Amino acid sequence: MKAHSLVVAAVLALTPRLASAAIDDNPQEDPTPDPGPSTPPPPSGPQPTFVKTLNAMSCLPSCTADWGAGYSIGAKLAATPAGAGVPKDKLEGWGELDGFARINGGRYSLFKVRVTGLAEARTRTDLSLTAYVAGAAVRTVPFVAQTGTYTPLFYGEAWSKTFFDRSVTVGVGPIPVTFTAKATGELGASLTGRISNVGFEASTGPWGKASLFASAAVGGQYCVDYLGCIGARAGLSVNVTLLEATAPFNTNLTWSLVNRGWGAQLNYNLTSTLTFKSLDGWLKVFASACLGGCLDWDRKLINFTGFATTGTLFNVAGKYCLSGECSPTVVDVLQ
Amino acid sequence: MRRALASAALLTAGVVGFAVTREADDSSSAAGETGRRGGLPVGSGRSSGVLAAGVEHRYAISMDHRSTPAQGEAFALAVDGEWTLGVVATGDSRITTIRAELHDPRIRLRGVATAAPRLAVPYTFTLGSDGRLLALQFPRALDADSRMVLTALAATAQISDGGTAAAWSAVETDSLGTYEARYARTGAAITKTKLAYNKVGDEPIAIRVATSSTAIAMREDGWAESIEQRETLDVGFDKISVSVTGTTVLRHVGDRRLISLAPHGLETSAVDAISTAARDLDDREMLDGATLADLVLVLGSVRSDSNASAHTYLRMVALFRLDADAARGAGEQLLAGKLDPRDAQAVLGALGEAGTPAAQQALAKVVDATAVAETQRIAGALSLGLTTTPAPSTIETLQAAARSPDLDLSSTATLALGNAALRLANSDAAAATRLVDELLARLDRASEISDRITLLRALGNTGDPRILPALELALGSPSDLVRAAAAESLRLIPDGRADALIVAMLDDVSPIVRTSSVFAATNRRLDPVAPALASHARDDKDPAVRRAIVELAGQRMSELPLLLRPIVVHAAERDVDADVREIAKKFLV
Repeated sequence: MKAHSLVVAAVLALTPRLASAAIDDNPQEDPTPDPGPSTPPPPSGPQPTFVKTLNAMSCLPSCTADWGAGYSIGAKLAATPAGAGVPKDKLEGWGELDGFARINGGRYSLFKVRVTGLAEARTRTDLSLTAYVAGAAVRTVPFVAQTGTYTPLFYGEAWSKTFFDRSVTVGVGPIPVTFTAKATGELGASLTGRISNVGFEASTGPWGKASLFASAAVGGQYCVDYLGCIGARAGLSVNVTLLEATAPFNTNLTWSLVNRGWGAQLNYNLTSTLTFKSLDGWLKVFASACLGGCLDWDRKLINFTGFATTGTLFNVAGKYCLSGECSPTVVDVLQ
Repeated sequence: MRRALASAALLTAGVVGFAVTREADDSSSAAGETGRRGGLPVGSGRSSGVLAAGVEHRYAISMDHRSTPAQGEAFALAVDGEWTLGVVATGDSRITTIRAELHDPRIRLRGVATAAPRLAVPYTFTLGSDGRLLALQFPRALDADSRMVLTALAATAQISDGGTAAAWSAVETDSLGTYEARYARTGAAITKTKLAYNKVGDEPIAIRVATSSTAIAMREDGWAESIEQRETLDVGFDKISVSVTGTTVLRHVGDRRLISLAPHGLETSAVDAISTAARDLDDREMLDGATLADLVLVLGSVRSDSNASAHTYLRMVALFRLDADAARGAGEQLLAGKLDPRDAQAVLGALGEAGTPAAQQALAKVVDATAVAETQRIAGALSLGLTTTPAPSTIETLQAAARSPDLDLSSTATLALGNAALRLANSDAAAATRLVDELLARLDRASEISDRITLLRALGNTGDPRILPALELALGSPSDLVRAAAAESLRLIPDGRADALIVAMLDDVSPIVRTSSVFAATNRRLDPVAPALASHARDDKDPAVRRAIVELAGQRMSELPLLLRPIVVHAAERDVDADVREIAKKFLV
């Protein structure tokens, strides 16, 4: 196999793929019904009357490639007025960033950070951040507010992790060949803002980065009694950025009574800017041997530059009359 | 590795029923072959019954293999010596055991020749009734690389029985795996060609037969006069592959009376045993002689380069695996606050991944130390939970941290206990069970929603089916967040009831719970839940839920194309949400 041409092909295959975003004020109405969308029936139970969602995903070099990486991002603000089965006006919001790798055709979850907020108006607000590494929940940070007094949020952390680690040695005839693939990087999250029992105003910055280190090393160690072991190895290794993704969300969803108590109004804001980078790296060959004296040798064959983008995924803010009669000046504004 | 375990189980069962396919081209010749047998290196020309014991057949052998990684340096290994073979046992199911020994072995490695007495050990291998190599038996102390050489010899000489057919096919096994071979006979001369290999077990490694030809000359007594194998195999994946060209020659040099019996104290090894054990050699290569001080210095200088940072981190893991003193030294530096906080979090992660006793002890001291920064204690607890083999003292440290008044440390240690239980399940099931019981008892006592959520997530990390009743109870909670935590905690439980609950929670009134159910499905086999996912991908009111399903179906479409592709196609063509349609289309390019 020609490593150089494959790497170049992978790099050439990169094209900017900015995530798309859509705003659904009323999910029952779609501005672009073509090509013949089906209308989902509502699930049982009270439904939100206010919904704004963001769903985006991107893969490099493509979502069907054997090798590559990608991210998925989702965010949502929703509110349900009090009614049967919903004792209080209910506000919910969440945002998540999911990073994944495709390694030789297999799909591997690298990390996921999810922030969830849920408020029952004038009763209780829960906000929590949860981080997962390769399917394991490793960190959960909860915040609770049960009064109208704002509680400040301040949190930030980062962890170094190997998200994926596989090493296998096979015998090609008498020669051992060790294949190794490791996806290593960092996962981090921050959360600042404030919450009270009428909602939350938060900035959260989940981010993750992972580099792939893969190698094929030929050779082993052959031990000779009284003389010790002789060994020799040769191979090649590649170290590329699988992904670096940062997706800060600014979220604001608060509930208030307006018009002398005749109406319940939402103030909302959701903005997100994503920075994504992938497939920078190098490919090198190496050799080492200890045969009456040791030698180490390596040479970079290719340095290649990948792809990076920054873009605003979502930017929406406004006011929404959830129930009753709000002020005539209250309108739903989209930006 | 699953394949190695399966093979081992098969061998324990006496190899009865080992599947072999063989198809003779000449049906008239193939008829009436029942009872004929092949052998190694006897067989194909032999038309009599069981191999005779008591004779040792001597072969001069020469193996010369050269491996070239794509664009890399060549690596050459050659082995010479005299190989003796003799039948020592024939079992009831017509399995034959051959005693083999390599005499005066010499190795040439990258041009340097040396004697290799470690290869000169008696060992045995077993053959099926058709001559296929089934397993080998080596002295326990024999190292992996020597086993590989001796296995390669036995596999090279493998000749499947073709009776009197002029051409036949067989499935055989060598150190790489199972392959299809094609035989052709002209008089006493037989030619064998490897056609194609299966994938290496569960590993994503492809094998391509570039060239293959084995010329075999048979003797009157049914043993081979000579075997000469030449082949080139390409092994690897995508950018990372090696090409190995090998020539192996065996020439009969005489017979003598076999006086040695099968050696005692051997252990059975699958022909295609895959080694996944951590190898010092890999770590040493990765580390390249660096010390902790060197690596900390490098970390500080490459912060803006993610690849270099990640590579340095892997070198640090290798250092801590190889050098207990370095792990202890790193722990002391953390306790003394001597490391930059950004380097400290890398050191904490690397200690956890190294997972040696010294590394775990160093981390435990950090978690215990109240004078250390809270973020480092939390990172230490997190790393301890993910270490491969948690020690009893590690569990005690995490248990103490879970009782800490510091809620962040306590919740992280609680999640870590769940992760540790999962990792202990294979090595110390009783300890894992105790941890799960402890977490269940704490969940039973917890009244605060956030505590219950943390405990549910910790239980979810264990993957223990015994948590199902507690999860079922939590799935009925009036709190959306509790139900969501319970739903996601179904993800690792290897039990069909978990699938049924995931399907049931796809009907929950809260979209947060429904997306958590989809998240739980991402870690599981999808066939039990695929029909429900398909239904919700069409009908769920919430675009975030439909997006999660479409992403899952798209990412794993190759596993169940008949069930999952229609989900993606429908979403791409008909979903009401433009984002969901756009995401689905990316999987159909």
